[in-house]
Amino acid sequence: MNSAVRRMSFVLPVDTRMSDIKNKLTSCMHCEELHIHVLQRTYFDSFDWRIYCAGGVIEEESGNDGFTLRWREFVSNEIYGNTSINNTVRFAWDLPDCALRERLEPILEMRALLPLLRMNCKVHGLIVLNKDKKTVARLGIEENRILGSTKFKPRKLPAILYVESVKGYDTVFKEVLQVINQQLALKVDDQGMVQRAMAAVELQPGAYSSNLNLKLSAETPIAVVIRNILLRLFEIMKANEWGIRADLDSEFLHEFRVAVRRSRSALGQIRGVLPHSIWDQFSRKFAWLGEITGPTRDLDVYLLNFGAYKNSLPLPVRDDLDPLYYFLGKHRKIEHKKIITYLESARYRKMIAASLAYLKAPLSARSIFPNANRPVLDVANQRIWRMVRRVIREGETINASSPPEDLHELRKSCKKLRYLMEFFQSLYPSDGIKPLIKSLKLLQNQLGEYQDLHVQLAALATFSNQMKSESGATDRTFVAIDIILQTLEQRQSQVRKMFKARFATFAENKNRIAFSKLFKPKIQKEAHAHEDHCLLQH
Amino acid sequence: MKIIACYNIKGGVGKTATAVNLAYLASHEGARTLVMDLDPQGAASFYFRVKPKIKGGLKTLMDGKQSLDELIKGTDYANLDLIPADFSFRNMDLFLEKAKNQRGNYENCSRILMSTMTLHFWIVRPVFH
Repeated sequence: MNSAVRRMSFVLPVDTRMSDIKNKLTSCMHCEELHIHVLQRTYFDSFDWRIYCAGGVIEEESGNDGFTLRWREFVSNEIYGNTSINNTVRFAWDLPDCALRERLEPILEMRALLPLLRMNCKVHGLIVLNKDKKTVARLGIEENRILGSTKFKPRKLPAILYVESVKGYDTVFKEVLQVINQQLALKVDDQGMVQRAMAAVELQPGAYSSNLNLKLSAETPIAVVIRNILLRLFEIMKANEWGIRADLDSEFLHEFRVAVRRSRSALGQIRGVLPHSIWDQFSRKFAWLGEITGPTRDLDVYLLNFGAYKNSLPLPVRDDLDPLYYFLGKHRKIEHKKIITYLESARYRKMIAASLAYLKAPLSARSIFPNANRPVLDVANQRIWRMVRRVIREGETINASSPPEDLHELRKSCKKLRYLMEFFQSLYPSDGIKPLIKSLKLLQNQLGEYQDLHVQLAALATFSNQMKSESGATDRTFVAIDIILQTLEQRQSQVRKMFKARFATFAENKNRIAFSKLFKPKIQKEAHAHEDHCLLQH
Repeated sequence: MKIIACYNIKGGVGKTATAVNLAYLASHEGARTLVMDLDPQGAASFYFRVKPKIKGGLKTLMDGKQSLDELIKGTDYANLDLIPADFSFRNMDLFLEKAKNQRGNYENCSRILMSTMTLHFWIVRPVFH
């Protein structure tokens, strides 16, 4: 026997009068009305639907008892981690230490909670009593009304009747369900109130994703595919623009920049497809976008790392680092203002409009460019295979005395390979390509950490000098920064030592064979079978 | 884990009332709370209008064969549950003395409950040796 609380919901027909339902219920069982609460509920998720992907939604409820925040499961409608709040919670770290925060932090990470919709709810609470007047089951009728916003008009939803068991009284729960079934003949709510509300205002959960999700067919000419790739990347950039402007969280800018980098990589890797003048224009545009968004992103990274910097210091000197936080925040504000100016500039708007116009224009039937009509699978195989060989070659030449620049070059090659594999992912069996992407990702993480530490060491030293001339930071702050620099140096040397093992895992024979099987162009396979020993070392 | 004891050797001073009210306040604040009424007088069970009776009595509670979760009764309040008392609990001290290893079972059961409950209130009878 499982004594967990069980809940079952029913949809009431639109024209039902609440008093009729209550009268029917009270006439069939020993039932009392407990309360009528008028509440306002707001539902939240991150821009990229992280909570929805984890099976729930965040619900904020405000009524006579103040504000509470909780996790509501989409399918079962169960709630978890009811937490009283006094302040607006935008990030997981705004919550006090509690079960909800524990669940939310790894899912939400640095993303902000954004309101999806608001509802006015009238909740009629009823209880079923036994002969001792003890509560043995709970009933509730919820009348929900979606409040209007800039995105949608207000509308009324069908009322919901729910029954909740009380632990240890399962028989009563079954009896109540039987009464509802026989006396009211209601339809079981198999959708859930939140999903129904979202559907009513045409809100599509999971609508945004930073994944390319391109479904390619092997024979499509590469000229068509590259246009689709760039269009999709422009779509991602556009989708993130408003979040950058409103400064909701740092991921909007990050995803914008990733889309720019991917676009640059696509142009660099797939040549001979676009007219040179267009190719050149696109390259310059993307370079400009990378340039104008770089300083804010760098400062975002230091601000996101600030907690870790502080925690790496001995307890008595942690607060000495705070002036660095204010310094970073101040400069970020200045840089962010610059981005807004750029995004609102005529140059930016014209650039986007011209790019989209070009990419959406119909392709001429016969292209004069050498590679334009090649089937995408041929190009994908050739480009990915070439990049795999480059990554292996570059990685193998790195030894203990190699300069950091060599690791940086390898990191860039890995990124190019990753983007290529992601662009053309749908052309290959997912059980073949996904493990290879995962393996590459692990190598990238290690190279990324090394490079980030390298950049952070240089940047923190620069910030320290800037702070000396700009602000009235005390010597204690500079001592704290020096301690962090030492910690970062130690970590960098540890990461450097780990490179050999990490690269060996990526370049192991199993992966080399898998790469070769998946991407090595067929012609090359036959003509240069003897070259295999270069890559496959047994 | 924090343990708060409402303690007095005198009867009728409000130990049970304090524990029951603290449990209610905790549940009202959102903590999933369990009151274990281990006092054979069953005063805490009466507070919640639950019959102080457990099928199989003390043996069922202590032998670990049946999950403690199955003995739980919900109260009139959300988040506040109860394991009711039973008259057989009057022999708990003798039972524990006779079979010391049973205590291990008891601790195991409470560990299972810990994973689902945030707060426990144990109402026990003082035993003097």
